[in-house]
Amino acid sequence: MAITVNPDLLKEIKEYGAFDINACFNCGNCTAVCPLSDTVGSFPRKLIRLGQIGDKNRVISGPEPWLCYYCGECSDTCPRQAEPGEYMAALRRYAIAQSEPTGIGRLMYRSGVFAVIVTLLVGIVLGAFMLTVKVGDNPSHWIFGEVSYQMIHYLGIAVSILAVLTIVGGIMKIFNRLSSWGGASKPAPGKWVSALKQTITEIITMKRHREESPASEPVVWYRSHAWIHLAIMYGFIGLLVATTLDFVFLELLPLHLSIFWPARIIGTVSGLVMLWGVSAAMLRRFSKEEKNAAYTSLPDWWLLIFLFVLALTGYWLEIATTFQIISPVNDGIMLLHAAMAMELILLLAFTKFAHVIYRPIALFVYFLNQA
Amino acid sequence: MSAATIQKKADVLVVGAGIAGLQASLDLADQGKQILLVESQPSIGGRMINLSKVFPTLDCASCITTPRMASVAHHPSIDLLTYTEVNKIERVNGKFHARITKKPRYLDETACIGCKRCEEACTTYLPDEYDHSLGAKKAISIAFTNAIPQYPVLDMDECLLCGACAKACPTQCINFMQEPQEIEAEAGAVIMATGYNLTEISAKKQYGGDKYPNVISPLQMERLLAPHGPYGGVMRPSDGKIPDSIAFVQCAGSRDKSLGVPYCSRVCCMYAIKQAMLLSGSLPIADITIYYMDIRAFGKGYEQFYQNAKAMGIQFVKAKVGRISEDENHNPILRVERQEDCSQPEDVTHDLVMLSLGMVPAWIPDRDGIIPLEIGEDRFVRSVNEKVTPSLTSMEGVFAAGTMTGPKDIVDTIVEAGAAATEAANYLRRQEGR
Repeated sequence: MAITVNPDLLKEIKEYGAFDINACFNCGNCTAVCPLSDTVGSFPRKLIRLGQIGDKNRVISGPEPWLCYYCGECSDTCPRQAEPGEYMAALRRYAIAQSEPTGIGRLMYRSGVFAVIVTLLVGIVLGAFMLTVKVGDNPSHWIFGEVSYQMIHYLGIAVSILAVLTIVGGIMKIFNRLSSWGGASKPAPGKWVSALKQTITEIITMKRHREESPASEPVVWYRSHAWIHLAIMYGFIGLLVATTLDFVFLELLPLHLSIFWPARIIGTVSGLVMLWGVSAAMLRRFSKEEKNAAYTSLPDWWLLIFLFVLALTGYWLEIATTFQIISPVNDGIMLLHAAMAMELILLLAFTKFAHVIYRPIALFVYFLNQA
Repeated sequence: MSAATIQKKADVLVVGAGIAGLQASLDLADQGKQILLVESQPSIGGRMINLSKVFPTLDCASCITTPRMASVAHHPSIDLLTYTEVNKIERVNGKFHARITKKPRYLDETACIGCKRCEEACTTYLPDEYDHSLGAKKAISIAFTNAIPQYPVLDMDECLLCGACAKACPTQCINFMQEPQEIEAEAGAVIMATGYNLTEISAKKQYGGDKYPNVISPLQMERLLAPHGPYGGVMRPSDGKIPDSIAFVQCAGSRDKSLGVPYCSRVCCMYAIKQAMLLSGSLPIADITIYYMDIRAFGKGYEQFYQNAKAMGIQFVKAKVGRISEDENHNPILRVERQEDCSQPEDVTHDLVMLSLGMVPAWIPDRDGIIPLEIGEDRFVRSVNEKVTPSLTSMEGVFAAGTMTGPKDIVDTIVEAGAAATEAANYLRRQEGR
């Protein structure tokens, strides 16, 4: 198939990150220095070349952007300061924006103002929705007097279903694209199982992530990129489990659960782990000392701010429910917490959060094609 | 007690006695000008006398340099000061006043006959900077075999003061109490020819140039290839093995913004090709690979030289080396991306690796003082009229020659030295006419 050179593609991707790929003279340093590149996932120079000629299909059809954990080694050593690491990050944002059908993601990534407006709007709509139901007199149906527990419960389920629908659309789109990558030969059935195993192992252990950047100055492990990410991820998963348990056993249990109820303990511990991870991540991005935090933009902050506020308000509410403090302030915080949690799920496919879907899929396709 | 300050007078003060300073001095002296030539090293000859052969003719570097060195040393109009530092040059009423310090060699140069008895008697061995630490020298030694002048220098920091050299000396010229000699000089014009340094071998930490014994600098490779080199042949530093597989890593110090050297050093492609050719002469069955970003063979006959190298079987691989590690036998492992026919990272093991380091100015006015010449963005001394009169600096009466104004090869350096000499002569004539 003939390829028409399309110089506009780079301009388009450039709206998603601060790189200077036009400066690249294709020396191949980035691929050679990359601690994760191998014969299957040969990046980033290949993607840079494809970007330069404007081959959009192949730029977004490979899993390579998702194999990169942005250690920053390539950007640090690039002779042209073309910022290949930032280019990979921009490609991930671009892929997320290209995988959802509405165009909201595209706008949110490219315009900070639009992202803030959408975030506020969705939050207000969700909050207002929760206030539409009068609580009535039954104290088991409300928290602190104003917000109905049932309302949060059912709205939460509705939001989750909506989110799942958008995500499934995105998954299908990205899987379609990725399946054309790699060799022409079809992998053996046994390969699928082992690839799945490898993917799950990688998600659980983040081994590849921890292998990045051997030449850079060693950081203390608990301050490293990979461990901070592990803390956030396990914290979040723990909270997800706690919330699900609450949902499942809602009908069976009295409302004001003791903090010693197992689901609550999981939630409390996970929340602390996540809070620590998020704080450390925000500190990294704030100090901009490491290359991979130098170009932090709003889409990166968005997720961290959400998780941070959710964790803080969550603890506030845990204390308030435990000591039965009834006050309009607590109602407000409850509303904020619930609205933001739902928004996080609802906007999953449109924001950086979408990587929890795309990265595992890309890893799976990558392992499938690995020798 | 230090001796009284010596006063000197010359038409032109030339700073630096590398090939540029030598050429400029000879060109002016042959016109009858009085030259004061100052060199900071124990011998004249600069970087060039350190090289094995020169591209693209493969002439022996010594054979070209030593006649010039000898001419300078014996020229009646050239006053040569070696092992001497210039501290300050000032322009007063159209004349240049220089304060100069002659460092002590700890011997009486008027009595020394260069017999090397002291060197033979000395018991202290030190790394030899002429061989870039590949070989050893004595604490009192003549810089190298064909050094000019043939006076030794005693390294007072390392000397045990055992007195063996003083006892061995047939002329009793060793003087452990010698003091620096201050000199004041007046000259009508100044030619600066301070040359270059290589970029630090440790600058790119991914290459581990300072950690791995078999990752060497280009000047070390020159010494390995030189007929009077430290090992008398090409052997690798870690174990003396004759290497079977040698790699050249191009742009290891230039064209790299992350190292602060964004410019091309111009000569690295050519010296690497030259060294590869010499290697294939001395080690006919060795595999020789040059990893490059692109080959810049810019001068007369250079492209043909490159094509000859390819025809000789030297491998040219288009790939920038990303990282160097080593195995348990100190074999360097290069990580590169293969770009031809595919795009694949690969680890390649070699016996010996040379990093093609770049050129940076040896003397930078705003760092090292002496004379306040303007510098360019690349930190080389700026020539104010680069196209038409490249040897003109920002200061009237001060001319620049050779690699102090930018990376260049030997041919261009010699041409520019001639240009600087002519400019200086014209300037002196104009000054007399006033």
